[in-house]
Amino acid sequence: MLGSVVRKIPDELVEHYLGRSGFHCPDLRLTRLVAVATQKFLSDIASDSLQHCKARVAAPIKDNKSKQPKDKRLVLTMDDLSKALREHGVNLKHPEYFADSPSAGMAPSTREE
Amino acid sequence: MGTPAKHPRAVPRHLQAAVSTVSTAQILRASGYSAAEPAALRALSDIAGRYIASLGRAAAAFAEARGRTEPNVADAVLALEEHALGGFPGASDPTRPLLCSGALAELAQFVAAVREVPFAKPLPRRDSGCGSGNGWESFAAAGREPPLSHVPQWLPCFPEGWEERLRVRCQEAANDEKDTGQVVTVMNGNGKRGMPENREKLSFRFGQKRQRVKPSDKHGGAFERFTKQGENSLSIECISSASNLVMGP
Repeated sequence: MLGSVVRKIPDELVEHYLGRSGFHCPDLRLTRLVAVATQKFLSDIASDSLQHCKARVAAPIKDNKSKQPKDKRLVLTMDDLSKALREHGVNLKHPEYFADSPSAGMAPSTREE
Repeated sequence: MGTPAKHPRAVPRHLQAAVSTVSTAQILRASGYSAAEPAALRALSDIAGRYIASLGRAAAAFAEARGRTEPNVADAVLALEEHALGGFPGASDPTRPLLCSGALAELAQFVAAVREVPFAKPLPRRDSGCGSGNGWESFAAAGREPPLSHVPQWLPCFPEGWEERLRVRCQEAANDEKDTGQVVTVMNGNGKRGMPENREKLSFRFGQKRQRVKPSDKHGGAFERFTKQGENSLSIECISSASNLVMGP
C-alpha cells in the first residue's frame, strides 16, 4: 500500500515532529504511514470545509447571478475551517478584528465577505 | 521519554513551520481550494504538526506499556485507531486483528483515491555523519577516556572542538563583565543628544536609607514598592540637577 503513496508531507518533517514526542523508529515505513495518515486527516478537513464553503455560496444565490464567478475562487476561511475542525474535535476560535483604532470594526457592511 | 532524538534540533522552528505550511497548501490545493486565508493556512499547518506529534505520543505510549522503547507497526495502528474520532469499521470487536484494522482500510482507500503530486522542493536531509543509529556514542563505546576526571564513561562523547568553544565563551563572559563606563543616550532627530525637559534623574543605591521621595505619577506608580523602607532596602533618590548625569564619549 505504501509503495504507491503520494508524499505531500516530507519524511524529514514527520520525523521531526515524531521525535519531539518520543517516537523514535528507524523503520521508514512507519514514518510514511504516519505521513499518509496525517495527509488523510488534512484532506478530510479540507473537504469538509469545502462543503461548508460551497453551501455558503449556494445559499444566497439569486436568479440573475450565475454561479460560475464564485466557484472559481474558493478560499479557505477561518469560519469554514473552524466549523470543519469542530467535527474532528479541535476548537478553533478566531477573532474577527483587532480593535487597534477607533474606526476598526465600525462598518461591518463595508467589510468584504 | 524513550530513546533520544537523532539531533536536538534537526529542523529549526521557522523552517518546520514553513515546510508544514507548504505541505498544507499543497493538500488544500489538491482538495479543490484555489486560495486560503493566511491565518487559516497557518492554523491548519500547526494543527497538522500537532496531529503528527499526537500520533507519535500515542504510539510511544502503547510501546512503553508493553515494555518496549521503540514503537512498531502494531503500536502505530493502535494510535491510528485511537485518533479515529468518528470510529472505523470493526471497532466493536475487541479481538480484531490489528493489521486488518478498519482504520488501515480507510487509509488504503484514501491512498487509492488520491492523485500523484510530490512535494514542492527537495528538503535537506540531516543525516548524522558519525556514531550509531541513535546519533551519539558514549566514551566507553568509543574506547576513549573522558578528558575531565569527573565525567563518567557512559555519557556521550564531547562534540568536536568543545575546548575552543569553551575558551571563546569564557572570554566573551569576561569581556561582558568589564565596565566600559558608557551610558547610552537617546538621540534626537537633528543629531543632538535629546533629553525631555524637566526630567527627573533617578539613581538606585543599596543599603543606606535616603530621603524618601514620593514617586512621580508619570512613572505610573511603578516604583511604589521601593518606597517602603527596610533595613537594607533599595531606595530611590531623585536628583534634579543635570550635573550628576554621566555622559559617555
